[in-house]
Amino acid sequence: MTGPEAGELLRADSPARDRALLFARIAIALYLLELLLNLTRPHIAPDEPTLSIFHRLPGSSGSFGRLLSMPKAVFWTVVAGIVLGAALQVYARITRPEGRRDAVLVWATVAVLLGPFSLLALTVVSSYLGDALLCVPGTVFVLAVLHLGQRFGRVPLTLLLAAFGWGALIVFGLGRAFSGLALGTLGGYLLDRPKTGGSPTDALNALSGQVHDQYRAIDLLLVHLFAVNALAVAAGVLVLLLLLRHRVVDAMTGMVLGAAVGLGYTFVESVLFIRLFGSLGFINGVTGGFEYWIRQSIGLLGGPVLFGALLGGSLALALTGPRERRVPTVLFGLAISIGGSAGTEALAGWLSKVTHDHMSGGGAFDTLIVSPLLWLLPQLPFAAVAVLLLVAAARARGATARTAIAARVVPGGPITPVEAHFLSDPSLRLWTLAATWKRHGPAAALALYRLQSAQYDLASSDPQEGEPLRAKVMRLKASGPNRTAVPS
Amino acid sequence: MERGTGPAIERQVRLVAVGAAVGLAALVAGLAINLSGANDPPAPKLPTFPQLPGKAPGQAPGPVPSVPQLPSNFPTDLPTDMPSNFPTGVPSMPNMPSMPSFPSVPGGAP
Amino acid sequence: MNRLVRPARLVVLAALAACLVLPLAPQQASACDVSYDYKPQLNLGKPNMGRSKTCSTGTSSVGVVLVAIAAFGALALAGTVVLRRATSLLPTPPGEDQALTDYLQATSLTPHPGPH
Repeated sequence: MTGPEAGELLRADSPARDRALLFARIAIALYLLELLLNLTRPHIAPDEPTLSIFHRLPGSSGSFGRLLSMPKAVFWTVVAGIVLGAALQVYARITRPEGRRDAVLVWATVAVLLGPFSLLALTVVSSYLGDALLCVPGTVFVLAVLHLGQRFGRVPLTLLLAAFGWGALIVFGLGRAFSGLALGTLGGYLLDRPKTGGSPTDALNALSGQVHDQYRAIDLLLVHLFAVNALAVAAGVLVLLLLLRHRVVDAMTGMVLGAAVGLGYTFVESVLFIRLFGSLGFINGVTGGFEYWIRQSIGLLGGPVLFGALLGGSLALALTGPRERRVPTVLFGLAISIGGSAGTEALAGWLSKVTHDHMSGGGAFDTLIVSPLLWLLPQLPFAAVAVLLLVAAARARGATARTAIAARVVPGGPITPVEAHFLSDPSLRLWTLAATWKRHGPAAALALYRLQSAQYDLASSDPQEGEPLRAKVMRLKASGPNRTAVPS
Repeated sequence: MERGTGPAIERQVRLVAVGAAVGLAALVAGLAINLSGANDPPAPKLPTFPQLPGKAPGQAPGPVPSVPQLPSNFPTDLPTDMPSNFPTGVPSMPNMPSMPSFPSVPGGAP
Repeated sequence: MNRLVRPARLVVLAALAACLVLPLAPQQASACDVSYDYKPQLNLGKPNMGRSKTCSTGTSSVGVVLVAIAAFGALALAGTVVLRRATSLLPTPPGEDQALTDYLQATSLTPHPGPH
């Protein structure tokens, strides 16, 4: 990480750092709560282990077995992380480091506390590397759009990638680790003990009752999973927004960060779905390719990306809006994310069931039109809200951009009046790049793009903080004629 | 972080509030559908066992309904008692719905 | 800029045609399971548990290619529209070339013309 971001991380006063440590502690506390609930669950079978995640499933081998044994590994690593984190905190209290060392210590504690949860995602991706590689092109495309689509007040690439990594490693890991424990707890409370003896009909009735209880457990588990995911996304987006607090922050910033976090989560989850649902085709008619089509192609911007964006936007509005509306706005964002994810999941499944005419599926019409439609239909209202929010935020940002650029205009300085005219209008700015490419070639267009980005960063930064950015712009301008070497 | 201008932010917050209402409605609808069992598949159509009092369980007299054929490409490295979607942290659920354990299965089963 | 509009129109028309053809073929609609809450429907009495076809990888790949084409096509179309709006905003008497020259001189990426 270079430039202003590195300075931000190691700053003396950093609400981002304090929040990050607080969130890490809360996450560990909640994990311990899940453990406690799991330990105190009613046991169904006589020989159940104390923690349901210690149960050894028969017949699991290979990559699948590795996946199944991960929660146990995560548990032990989390314990080690807690011990190490506590040690670091004690060390900090004893030695009381200042400035840079204190910052490094805090970030190290956060990493040690939350790092173990990333084991799950890393295992998934490394076990099924081929499927993961397949998901890369679509993901990179959306990341590129998120990055290149912003001009004024854009999120630095490093923070965008950090958001992606947070979603892929921590959100996925926290959601799965918590849910693994919750599944055992719910199963303990909801399932009945298997009765021995009785007639075959009794056994069948008990079986169907058990099936229904299983489904109830899964339904509740899903709401739990989406709740944990939403909280994890919110924590990550909040820390990143606080890291950006010396720049322009608006709903669009939040939406971009939230979308990037959701994209990371989708990436890992898609690998899982492709592999798992793909191998269960004889039950539900799904192939790996179909899951890829739904999750990484037509539905790439739906699901976690959509709800992540909405949640991120709400959080940014909470941070930059009136203070008395802060808590309600955050709650709105969580309601959208949790309610939307759980609700659309259930509604899509129900719509699919309703159309299961004689339980025959497959075929081109089903694959290409019906199945994606039923999956995306419940998400449509949320997509509409997201588009409206994006348009409103973009319009507000445009107005902010014009005032900020005008405030920075200095004849002969980093932004001259002629340039300000072109920078203030997005279409004119795109035209300058296209026309320069046409006249002088791609190298000149690239140099121009770099200069314009530096000018935008300067305009969107705090007036007091702008010195290194101002120097950068002047440096790019000074080296311009030598680099492009265009005929006059 | 600058506090945003009034009406623009107000409009966006209102939009978010609308979204929250939609989200809550979706959650309620989804929970209602799921918890009422409307999304549950119909019980697997099993061949019916004749009910004969007095006989020990597991002894089906007369013509025995044939065991339905499971496909031959049954993956052998999947654990048999797992719901189809959470590979991580799954405790032992007594039986997966698609493979009920019959009290007795004459005729063999995979 | 017109060169981009015609292929874009062709792509859109092709996609629409494909979308229309598929529903016209007599098919039985249902839906393959996508996610967690899709509870598997089984009919143990029927052969193959009642599933006749899967949502195959081959058909899905066709969809992926179509979406990719549509995505790039949409981007290209959006870019064309934006550029057209920009050229309408430029002052016409000096012309586009002069406007670009003025701008590039202001950015110092081209050296200012000396007194020839």
